[in-house]
Amino acid sequence: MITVTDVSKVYQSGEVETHALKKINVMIENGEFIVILGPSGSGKSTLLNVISGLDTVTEGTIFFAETELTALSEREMTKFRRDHLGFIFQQYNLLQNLTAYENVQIGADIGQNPFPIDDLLGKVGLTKARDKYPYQLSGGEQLRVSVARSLAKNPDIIFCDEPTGSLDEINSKKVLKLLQELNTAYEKTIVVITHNAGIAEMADKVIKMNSGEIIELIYQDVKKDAQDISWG
Amino acid sequence: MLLKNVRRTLSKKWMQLSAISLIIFLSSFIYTALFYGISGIEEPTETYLADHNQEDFAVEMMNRLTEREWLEFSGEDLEGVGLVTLEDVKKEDPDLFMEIIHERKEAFKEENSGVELELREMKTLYFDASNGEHEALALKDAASINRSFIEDGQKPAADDEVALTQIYAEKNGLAIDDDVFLHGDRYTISGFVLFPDYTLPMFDESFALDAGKQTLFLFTDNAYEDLSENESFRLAGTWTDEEGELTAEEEGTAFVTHLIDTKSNMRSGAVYDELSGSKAAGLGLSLFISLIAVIIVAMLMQNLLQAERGQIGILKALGYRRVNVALPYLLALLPLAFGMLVLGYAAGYAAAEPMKNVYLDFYLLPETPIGQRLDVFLLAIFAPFAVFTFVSGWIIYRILGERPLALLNPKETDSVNALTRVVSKCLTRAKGAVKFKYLHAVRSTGSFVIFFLGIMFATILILFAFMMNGMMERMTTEYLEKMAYEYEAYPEEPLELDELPPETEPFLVYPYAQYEEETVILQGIEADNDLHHLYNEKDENITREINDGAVMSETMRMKFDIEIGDTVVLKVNQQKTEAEVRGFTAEYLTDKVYFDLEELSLIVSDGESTELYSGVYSLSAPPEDDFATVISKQGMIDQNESLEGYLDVMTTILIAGSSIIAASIMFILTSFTVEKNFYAISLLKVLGYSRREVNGMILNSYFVYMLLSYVLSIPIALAALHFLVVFMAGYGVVLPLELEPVSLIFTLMILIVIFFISTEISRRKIQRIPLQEVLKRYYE
Repeated sequence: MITVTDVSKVYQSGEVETHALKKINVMIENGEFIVILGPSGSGKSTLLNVISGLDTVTEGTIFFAETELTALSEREMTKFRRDHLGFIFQQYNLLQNLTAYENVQIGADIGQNPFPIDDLLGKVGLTKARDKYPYQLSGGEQLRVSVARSLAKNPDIIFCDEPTGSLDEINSKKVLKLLQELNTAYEKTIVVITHNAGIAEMADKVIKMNSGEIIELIYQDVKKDAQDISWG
Repeated sequence: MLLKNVRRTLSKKWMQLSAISLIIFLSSFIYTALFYGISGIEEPTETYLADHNQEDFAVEMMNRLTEREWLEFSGEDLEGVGLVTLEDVKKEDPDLFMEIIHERKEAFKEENSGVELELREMKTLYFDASNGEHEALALKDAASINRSFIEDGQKPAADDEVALTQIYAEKNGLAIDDDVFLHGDRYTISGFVLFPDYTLPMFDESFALDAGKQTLFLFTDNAYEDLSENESFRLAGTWTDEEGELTAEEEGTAFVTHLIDTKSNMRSGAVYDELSGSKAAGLGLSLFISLIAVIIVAMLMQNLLQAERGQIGILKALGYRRVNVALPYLLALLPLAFGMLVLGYAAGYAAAEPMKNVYLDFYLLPETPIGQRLDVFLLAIFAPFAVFTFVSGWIIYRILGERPLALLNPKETDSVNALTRVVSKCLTRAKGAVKFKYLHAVRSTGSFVIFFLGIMFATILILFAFMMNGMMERMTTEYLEKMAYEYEAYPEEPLELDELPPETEPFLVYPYAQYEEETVILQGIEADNDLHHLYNEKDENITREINDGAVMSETMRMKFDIEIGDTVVLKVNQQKTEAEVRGFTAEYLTDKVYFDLEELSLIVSDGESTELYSGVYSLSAPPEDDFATVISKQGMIDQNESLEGYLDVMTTILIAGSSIIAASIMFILTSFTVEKNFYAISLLKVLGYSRREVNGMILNSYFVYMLLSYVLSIPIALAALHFLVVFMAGYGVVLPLELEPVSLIFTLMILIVIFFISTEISRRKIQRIPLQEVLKRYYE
């Protein structure tokens, strides 16, 4: 579905060049649960950024089916993100003056075939909190709102940037369980970047990165349930 | 080092700082310019008016004899029918005239104790100058009340000398010892004169105030008496005891047509309200702008510190004391505020002189150089500076009060305001983008208030400007331009109607009638005349209506709430006359009632004559030998047009000034909004909202809010306008201010243009916000 070919990303800061990605080649199939694993500075966030069109590549190509993402204009890329991609962030990024329902609605409104918002809030266990503002929700609840928002427009792929980075183990596993359900029940492609090796146990494919390179590509036939993964 | 860092941060916000600087500058500039400009006139004026004994009140009186006077003095040499005027008496028998005046003064003093009275004698002259016809009021020198003041040079000592106003001389390139020609006679300018009862060059009911085409004249008494122009009289009065209430209800004071206290008298007293009103407006305006500046500075400080809270947290954790951390922020911003206040003060002081001269273009007042005052300096600079320092210090103190660890984390929102909840409820069924748009607009109460104030301020001023535009034209030239005559002239000696020159049409003016205790002018014209038609507001010719009753000026309709078909009772020579109102002419300067010429002649002559008239209208200039006064219509139009020119300049200044302030406010607030919503904007982009949609969600709420503020400002503007109309009505001036629907559209268009120009930079800023921002530490 997504084909990344010879992708490099170089950041220029004054006279200093930083090679964040070096000739990356990878494929992401429909319905896969992918984990990009690596320490800080390994290039995993950069890889997520360029695959999802949040950043441009210095060289190489990225295809989504027949569409070359690296050749799209800003407007076309926005349309692509709107129609196909969802995002979950470590910091939840909820809009503070909107209620839980309204935050999800912001995601749903731009989808062509969105999920019913109340159903989604029920799915993430926030029916009672639908009219609460972010400051009235716990960290776990806020993340669940963020998950519901990313799912609301019914995207094909959901990118997750350290989704459990701010949560304790119990809440983290709840969220991961939710992602796993999205993957299995709704056949959504999930791409998670993390430095937590335990999460990799849930993945179909694990992309291990270091210094801007893929150092290992692991295919897993047996995936663990979110509740069963090792933590820490 | 810390200071350097803060400065570096601030340098990235140079556009915001420039806009804030402009607002701070204006707060000090407006106060200083208006205060110095006005006090530069006020103080010498107070001294001048006191030293030259300005009248406390004026007794306007009938120019013809009352019944009682007629009976008392009929044994004297007074014969003939019709109007026997004081002027006629003075020409025939000066002693008798003085006796009548003495009687009048005594009768008035008998009814009103504790007053002193002096006769005021004056003649209006029209003469040709290089740039058209000019008008002058020659006042006979007074002995006690309203004594003349020679600004420069000296009083006329010889009969071929004249003193006139300095502003008239300046505008016409005249100097002392130069010559002026009046109807062919040469007069040498001996000096520049002012009279305390004419602080405005208002010589009649018209609103012409062109000091370049109108002047006051002081001649020797002999030269004055030799002038052939018509003469008019009034009594000038002062209180010798404590001020009381004046009356003129006894038989002996039947000659009184109007009693007017100086402060309510436009020609002499408008300056008092003008000065106090302008001072109050200056203070109010600068306080208003200072308030906006203070709120904006507070918002800037808050945004700045919140953006730097992590850094502040580190400094606190390292052991820096509050004062060490606070000082760089204060040192970076307060000198800028102080500098702008000083600059505003300096510019205001420099602008005070030309501003004073604008006043002196209209007001006939002595001029002295403006000196600086410590209290103004302190109020213009240190008062707002103290407030800025206090507000900034308070915000810094609050943030520095947080624990270092809390500062190291982004500021968490821990509440939403009540307005957010209300708007959220109202928008239950709306789309998410719509909810976001309006909820983020009402999120900050400070922004909400300041934005509303800015739009309201701009709306009021722009609407005022549009309403004022054309007002003077409606009041003066529009009516004159419709008239077919070119000249109006007043005969030296009464001529028989059949002796009138060809192509002239007679009219009769009786200026002493009364309607509901107010003096009104009665004018008789022929119903089938060709030169002076009467037009109503719809521009329909209603001249023939005077065959069946009276036609009144719009001023009377507005003042007295009269309607067509009403029967009005007018008092003429102590007799009551009834007339049915048949229409209203689009005249806004005087309270005037038109009758058929013969009808009015019968009214004022107690049924004795149908052939009275006081002047003629003419297409060409009537011979000066037969007519003491010839007034050119074009000359009157020219005099009024210069005032229209001033109003046009004022209109432009009002629109431009208010637009700059509104644009600055819009720019600052929208750029603050973009900064505060940095992460939200990035998020919306990542979610897939297009550039247009993001712009709409962040900035278009301001657009809708601008529209709402504009709509709310309209009634406020109209209320302010009503206040102005009532204020002017206190001087007997009816302002035909009109709110034309098109003005509302133009005002809205100006605001929309200002909005798009001032938010353009914010739109570009939105465009530049990178998508990856959303992946960083997020806070709002």
